[in-house]
Amino acid sequence: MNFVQKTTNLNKVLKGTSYVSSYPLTPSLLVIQEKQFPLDNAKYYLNVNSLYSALPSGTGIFRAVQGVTVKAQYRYVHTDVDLPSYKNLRRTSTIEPTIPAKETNEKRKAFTYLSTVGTLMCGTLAAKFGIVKVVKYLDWNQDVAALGTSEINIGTIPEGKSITFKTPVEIDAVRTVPIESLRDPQSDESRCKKKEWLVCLGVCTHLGCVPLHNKGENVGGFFCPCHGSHYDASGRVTNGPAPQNLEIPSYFFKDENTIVVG
Amino acid sequence: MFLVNFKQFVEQKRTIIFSNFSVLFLCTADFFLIMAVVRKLGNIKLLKCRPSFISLQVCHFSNGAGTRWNIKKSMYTTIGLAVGGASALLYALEQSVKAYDWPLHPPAYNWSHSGVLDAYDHASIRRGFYVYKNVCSACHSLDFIPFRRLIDVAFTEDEMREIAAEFQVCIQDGPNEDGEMFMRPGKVSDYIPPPYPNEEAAAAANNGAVPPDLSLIVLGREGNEDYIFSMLNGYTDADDIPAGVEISEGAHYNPYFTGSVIAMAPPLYNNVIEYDDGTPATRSQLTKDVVTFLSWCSQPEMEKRKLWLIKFLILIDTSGHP
Amino acid sequence: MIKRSFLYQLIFKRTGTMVLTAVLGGIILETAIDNISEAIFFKYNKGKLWDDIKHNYVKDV
Repeated sequence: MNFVQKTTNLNKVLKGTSYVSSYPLTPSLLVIQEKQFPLDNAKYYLNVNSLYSALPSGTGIFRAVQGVTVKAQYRYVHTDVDLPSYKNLRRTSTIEPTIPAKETNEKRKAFTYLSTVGTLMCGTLAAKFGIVKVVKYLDWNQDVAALGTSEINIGTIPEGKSITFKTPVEIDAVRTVPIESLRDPQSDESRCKKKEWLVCLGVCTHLGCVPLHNKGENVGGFFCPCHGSHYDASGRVTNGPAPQNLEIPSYFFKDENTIVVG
Repeated sequence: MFLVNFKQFVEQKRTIIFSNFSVLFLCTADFFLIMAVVRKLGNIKLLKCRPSFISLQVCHFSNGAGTRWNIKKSMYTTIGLAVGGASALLYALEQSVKAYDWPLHPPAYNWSHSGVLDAYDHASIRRGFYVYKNVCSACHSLDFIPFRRLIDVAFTEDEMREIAAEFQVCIQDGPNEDGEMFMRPGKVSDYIPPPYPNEEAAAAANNGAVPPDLSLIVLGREGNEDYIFSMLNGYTDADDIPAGVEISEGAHYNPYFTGSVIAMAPPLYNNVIEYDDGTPATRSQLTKDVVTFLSWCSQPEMEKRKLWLIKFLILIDTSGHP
Repeated sequence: MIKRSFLYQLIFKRTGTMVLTAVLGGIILETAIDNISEAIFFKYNKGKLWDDIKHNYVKDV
């Protein structure tokens, strides 16, 4: 850089105030200042070009002395710059030097802990979102959840024809049976929300075959053809290897003719 | 003489390899040009030696060839530049502009949902679904959208149940207790049934052109909503087709479509359907609504995303100033 | 304006109260941010959202 400065006209751009000449082959320059340099005008010399134009030239109040041994550098002394104050960067409680640190201890700690608590609050939020994310991952798919409920129109199902519709005779029969005599004691009232309608899963509790309606030993009951389990008209097991009654899903009557299962 | 020969040469061997060679040739010519500029630059005043130093300093640092810039080299450079420029010009002139080379770029429209915080216009989504159902769904599937997704977006649950039940012939279920598959009315939990059972059936019904699935079409085309809108409105009448373009039977000219020849017939006309909210069903209105609907299909999570942006900004803004 | 030393005595001196404050503050922060951002979003998009056009289609509720 020094070489480029010295050999080219770029010097004007690269240097403003100081002129260094140390190349042994060149004649060094010493500028002797004969008059006080007008410091009042220092405000005026703001950029490199103006500073350069203020540099001493060969004539006028300055003169140059050449020689190999003379020092060839001059610099301005900046006496007009204030020492910077860092007051606005300090905590207000510690600005006054006479107050002991013990007294401002709680104030200072409160500020530090306040920012800690703020970070912790955001951390709590982030942790909560993370947990919700993981738990939702284990949740049902929306597809599956949408299949979970289905509506059945029971208005079109003829009496006695359907496997879920009980005639009055059957209702009497299943309601008068002593509950204690059953393998899996449940009353018909607890199994049916409306006494005409039995809503149950058509899956045998033994090994999962589909029981047939109006077959077997019970009137209006179910019979599993695989291993011979008998269910009555309320879906309760009366004979055979099945351990439990037919399972009742959760359902409710939306209106007269509609059941929502699931 | 040289120019004529060169042009014949270009016509004979206009292959990819040749064009690669020509690019290489141009690069070499450019290299000469840059070298020449750099060398010339070395001579300008800024980097020139100052006269006061010349006598004292060794002068051959900045530019050794400063004085040796000879005629031979400048001649080579000039020839290289001339040949390179001429060949580039010829190559450009030789290429004729074809109507199908340049698909028309759609203008940027101001969509109701295109702002940073803008939600979809849900009334428009609702109308757009009717357009899809009555017009587009004859050929285009919408495989990734179930009916339930539209509940509380553009339809109530009861309305959606009725609409789903209208798709009766298309939904196959089963087997029943006799082991047979059967058709049943659509349910809210079903996906919107496709018009064709598979791609081959779609191709066979449309002269071999398969109508694309529309679920992600807005994100899947360059220009997004603007492209779909311009394309649907951009069909050209038979009289206005540019000269030299041959349109085969069943194809249509559309400058926005890549290749400009599209198999789809213009789908939307004024009053092709009637809106239930009384909006006049002009063609541009129909198009705008169906594009809004398809945009929603492509990114149904957009509103949630924009809500999250607000939350994020609030959090950043409050935590930025403790 | 609560004095800082009072805040320190009340909350930050014990770790338990500090963590409790952080958790409660997190809940309050979340609720506040949710409400504010939704209010902004709904106000910005007034007339376009489903809630604004819903009354045209819901039968006798």
